[in-house]
Amino acid sequence: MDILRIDMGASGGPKVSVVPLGEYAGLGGRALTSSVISKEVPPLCHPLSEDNKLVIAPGLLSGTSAAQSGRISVGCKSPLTGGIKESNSGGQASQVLARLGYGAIILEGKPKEGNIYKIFINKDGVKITPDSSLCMLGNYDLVEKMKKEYGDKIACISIGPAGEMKMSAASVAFTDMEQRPTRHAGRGGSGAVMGSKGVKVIVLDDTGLSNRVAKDPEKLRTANKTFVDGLRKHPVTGEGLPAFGTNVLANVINEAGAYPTNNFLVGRFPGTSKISGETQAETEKARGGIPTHGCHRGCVIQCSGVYMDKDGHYLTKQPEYETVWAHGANCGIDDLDAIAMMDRLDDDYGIDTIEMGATIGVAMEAGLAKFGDAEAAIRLVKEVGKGTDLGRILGNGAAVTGKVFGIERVPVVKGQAMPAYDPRAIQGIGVTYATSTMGADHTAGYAVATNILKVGGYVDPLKPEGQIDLSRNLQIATAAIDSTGMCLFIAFAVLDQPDTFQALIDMLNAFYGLSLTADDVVALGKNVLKLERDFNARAGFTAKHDRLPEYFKKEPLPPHNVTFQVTDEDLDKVYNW
Amino acid sequence: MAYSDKSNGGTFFEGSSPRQISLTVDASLIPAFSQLLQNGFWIKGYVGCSVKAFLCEQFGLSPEYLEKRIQTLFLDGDVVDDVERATVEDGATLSLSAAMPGLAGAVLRKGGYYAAMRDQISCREETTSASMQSGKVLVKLFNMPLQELGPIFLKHGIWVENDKFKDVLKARADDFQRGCGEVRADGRQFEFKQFLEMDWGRGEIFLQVKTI
Repeated sequence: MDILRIDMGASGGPKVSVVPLGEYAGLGGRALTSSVISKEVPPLCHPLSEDNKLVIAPGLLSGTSAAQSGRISVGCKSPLTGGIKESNSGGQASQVLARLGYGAIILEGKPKEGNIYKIFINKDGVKITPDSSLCMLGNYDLVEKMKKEYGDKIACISIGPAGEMKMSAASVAFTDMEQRPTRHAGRGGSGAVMGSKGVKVIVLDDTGLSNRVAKDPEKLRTANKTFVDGLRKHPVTGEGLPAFGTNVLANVINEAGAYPTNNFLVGRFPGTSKISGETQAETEKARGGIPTHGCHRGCVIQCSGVYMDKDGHYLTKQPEYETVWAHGANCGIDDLDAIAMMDRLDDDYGIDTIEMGATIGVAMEAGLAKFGDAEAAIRLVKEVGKGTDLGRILGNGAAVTGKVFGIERVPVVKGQAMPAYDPRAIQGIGVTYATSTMGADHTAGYAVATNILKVGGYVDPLKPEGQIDLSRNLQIATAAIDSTGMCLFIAFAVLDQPDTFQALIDMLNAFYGLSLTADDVVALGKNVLKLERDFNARAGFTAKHDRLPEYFKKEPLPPHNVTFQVTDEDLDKVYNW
Repeated sequence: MAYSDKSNGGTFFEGSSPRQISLTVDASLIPAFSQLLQNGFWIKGYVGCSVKAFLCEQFGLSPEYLEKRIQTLFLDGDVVDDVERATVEDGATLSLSAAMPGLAGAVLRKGGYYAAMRDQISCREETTSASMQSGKVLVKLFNMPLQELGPIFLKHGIWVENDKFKDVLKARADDFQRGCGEVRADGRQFEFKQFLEMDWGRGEIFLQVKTI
């Protein structure tokens, strides 16, 4: 595997270099993106400057026959948080890029002349062309144009108008199996960095190429079979997620009183059953949509889906739990069709749905719209796409919006909006929000089998102070999983079934001819977190940034009427290994 | 699954509102009741006992199903870890779910390793009360239990507000018109259209839905 470096600011035009992985050998996904950013990006640089880099990296098993291996990582210094960022996406690009032989694309520099470029990569090489006809196209129209130009076997990595306008909530879009731009590396504004590099779209074509070959193909096949069997037999990965998608969580989180409603005012939303995963799946089926669908080839969990409008026409991909919450309960909206429309607009403009929904919630608190007014919420999203003065404020996220309109209750950490779990009800998630290197992040603390194998030491789960250790171990494990290119939803099956976790390690060993153990996986995760913490420290972050907003400690959350009670001293212990 | 007679009906009210309704419908119409089941329905039995005793001994849920399938369970919004120690009182809400994905799913899991991360919303289990009495419990069904137990509860009968039930019929009136085999209210048979147009007033009904 090589690294494809593209200097967008080279004199005479963008310059391509294909170099070996070198010091980054053995790394993939988040491990690779965070290593590059940590080593090569000056932590004090402006995120939109020539000194920042955008690293797009498939995982260690991407482009192979391993199931679930289609995730891709996008790394940079985040315009939203000012710290290191890795955002993660599904779609086809990871596998195609890996099959093309690239462990990463690194966009560097900054074009001086203001052109926007398309980049085409196939087995014959790389072609970079300025194309002003792509300017301010939505992701859907952009992809259609690319299909006409390059055929229908391509995978696209693109930004919408939000990225071109360098908004801090801008995402990087990835096409799915149907070549729709529905998968996004959403969090942290990586789309703005891509926009600052003048790159509108990267088109990948692996025609004529096959899957990467393992050092021990038979061992990979055997390990993959065990892995897939484990995923299929587990009730989460084999039944709940395929049947209802990630939005299966809505009813349960609501029942727990942890479903942030009306800008994190209360923890339960009366309209939840109207927007639940169960209702969403029934609606999709009734309209000819698909509630069971993979976001990339080789996915056996199939938690995605296809959402049709009332007339049975395609509207958007099945909105995820986070998106339904952000545009639903957080804004007091119980209309699935309105939520789906906002999901479509977010995908088209290229905006992080979590940040957008949290921002609308703050905007509603500021009086720009009433909670529950779905039409007003749609209009606010459209302001972002049009780039109006208000749209530019909203498109830069909840923190900026709160500041402009004088709102105290802004649910962010390190400038990034909180996802769909109130930290007062589930305090351990609050520990992760506060201390994650990424800002408020719900994916930073997924579970691998640290408890099963007692890797990283034994934690007494009954002690409240055990939350600190649990959060630490979960963050370590997640960083490791993010480096493999595996979908994080394998986590529950892996947590419950030691042989499924072992099968994952066996796949890595079979492909690379290694003898990794669970301890090695943990060490990888720890190293990634260490690099990220170090970058953030050099960027000016201190312990005071590892905190939730004060009002979470003071304002009780109904129905349980709880406040966030983990002390600052305990939060500071998360990284003391 | 056996269904206890203790949970059937009560005395019929006098007046124009029906108290007991039974429908026979095409199986494709069972999902129409999904939101009703998610929002909750009442079942009547003896309370003051453990969650396990209530569901298994009175309503015939198999202990294995409760242990292995219902991996996330709430009692009055608190997360239950031990179904033999959490006590169901009159008017309680029991919410049943399968295992959930992600960190939140792992944290909310019944008896889960990550329970400390949601200590503030965990059920404070206590020893079962010695005196049991008649009472009612609101049951909410989510995801897999919704699909698996929903039809069974509907078949054996649930208590719901009649206006919420009517909303279900109105939302898919044409489908029910086509797919409804028999409608009985307080023992009398009706045509579906006529039944839908009746003025029911407000109140609670005992609803049974069987499939053709």
